[in-house]
Amino acid sequence: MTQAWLVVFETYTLTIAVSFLVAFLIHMMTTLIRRFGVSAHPLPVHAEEMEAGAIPDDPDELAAIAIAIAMRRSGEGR
Amino acid sequence: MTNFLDIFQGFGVMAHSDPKVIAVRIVLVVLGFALVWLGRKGVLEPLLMIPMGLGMATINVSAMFFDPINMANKLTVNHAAVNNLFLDSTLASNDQLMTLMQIDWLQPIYTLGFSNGLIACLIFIGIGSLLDVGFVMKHPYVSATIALFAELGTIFTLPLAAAWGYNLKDAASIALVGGADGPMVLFSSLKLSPHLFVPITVVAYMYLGLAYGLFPYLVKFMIPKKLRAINMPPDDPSRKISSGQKLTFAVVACVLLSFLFPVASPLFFSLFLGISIRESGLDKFQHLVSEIVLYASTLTLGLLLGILCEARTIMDPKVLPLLIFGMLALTLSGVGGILGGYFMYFVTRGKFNPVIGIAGVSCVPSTAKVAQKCVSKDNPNAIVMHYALGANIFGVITTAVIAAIYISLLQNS
Repeated sequence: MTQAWLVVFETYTLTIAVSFLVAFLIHMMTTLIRRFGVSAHPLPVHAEEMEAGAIPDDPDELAAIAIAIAMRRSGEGR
Repeated sequence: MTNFLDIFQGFGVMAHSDPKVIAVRIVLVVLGFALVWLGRKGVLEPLLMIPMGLGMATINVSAMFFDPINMANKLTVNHAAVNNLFLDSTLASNDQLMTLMQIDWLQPIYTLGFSNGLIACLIFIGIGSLLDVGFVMKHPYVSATIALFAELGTIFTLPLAAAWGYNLKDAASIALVGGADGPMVLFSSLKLSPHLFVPITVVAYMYLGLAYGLFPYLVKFMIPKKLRAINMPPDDPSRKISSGQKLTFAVVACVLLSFLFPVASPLFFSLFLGISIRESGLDKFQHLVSEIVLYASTLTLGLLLGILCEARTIMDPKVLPLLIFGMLALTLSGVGGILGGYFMYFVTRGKFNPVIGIAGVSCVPSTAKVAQKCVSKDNPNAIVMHYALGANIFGVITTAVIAAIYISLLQNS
């Protein structure tokens, strides 16, 4: 039992460390790219540029599309 | 005259079986019907449940008197041996395996695509190709914090299962159900508890479907309406994350995480390969992995999981408590996620919607959709999806890290 608690303690501590390392990496990378790579162009094809498809049958999928449109209209992604 | 029981071998096998085995077979057939029905109704994920349910029902009535190994090797045939023509997951030697690969129709797929974790990796490539990591990259610290809270079940179920009597490897495999990530559970249990990977994975996938129905009640129970209605500000338009940035992140994170945790590098590689394909604008590959590979793998996974639910596998006394610990792990993770939402609510002095916490449970994108649905019911104008997807995707990374650490710590113990 003690060993089980030791395993989870070690695991959770390491997970916290690695997760924040990844978060820091993301933060630094986006900051650096914004600072030094502003002129970099996005690659040619992006999900946003795909052709419109048929309206999905799944109401959840429809809701997700509606949310995405709402986000776009609220200024997200421009 | 030929014996009736020899022609209709289903009856013959039943007549010669232990009553307990017969009872379990009947229960599994009924459960198979129930899974198909619940899948058809949309209560559980139909893409998985329909092939799984049909496979489960069929395999438990397809047993026959058959001794393929001895028959193929021209040895003395055991006429009382009961087998099927689908697959055998309990083979002891490579010779037996090579023989059965030529007899059981699903044995090649199981051996070459399932027992080595390939199917989990293919699904991860497909999932990766659907993920927009831009949501994580806009709020990395918030996403990481919520995802870490939402691992409560993955962490606390391990000592609880160990206290119940499971060894640490089995307990870790069960605890990973709390990560709500099917391929991860499959991959980890294959490494840590190959004898239990079938029931653990089946339980994981069944509960993942249930989580979609259960978590809204958990949200309502733990978060008052006033807080559920909090709107989140839209992201700063000047901070748009480009495809190039996302691709750079995928490549760097893949290499870093694979370097730190080689035991889980197939999973990290598969996930980030999918993301890289998406962000590189490789249309043909994107179509291939997000449509064909993902759906073909899902069908194969559902089918094989059902076929593996044969009475003799399920009758292990360790299986029944899995139902309880699986549910416990998932519920604890949901509770942890909401606590993470509350943590962010207090840190931001009331400007963060705690419902987003539930999205830290990494069932992409189901829990993010649950968060948005719960919020929309109380405030139709509130949009939390951009934060929820960030936490959701980071949840996949934290669960993979935990799985990797469990495997590293326990694989050789």
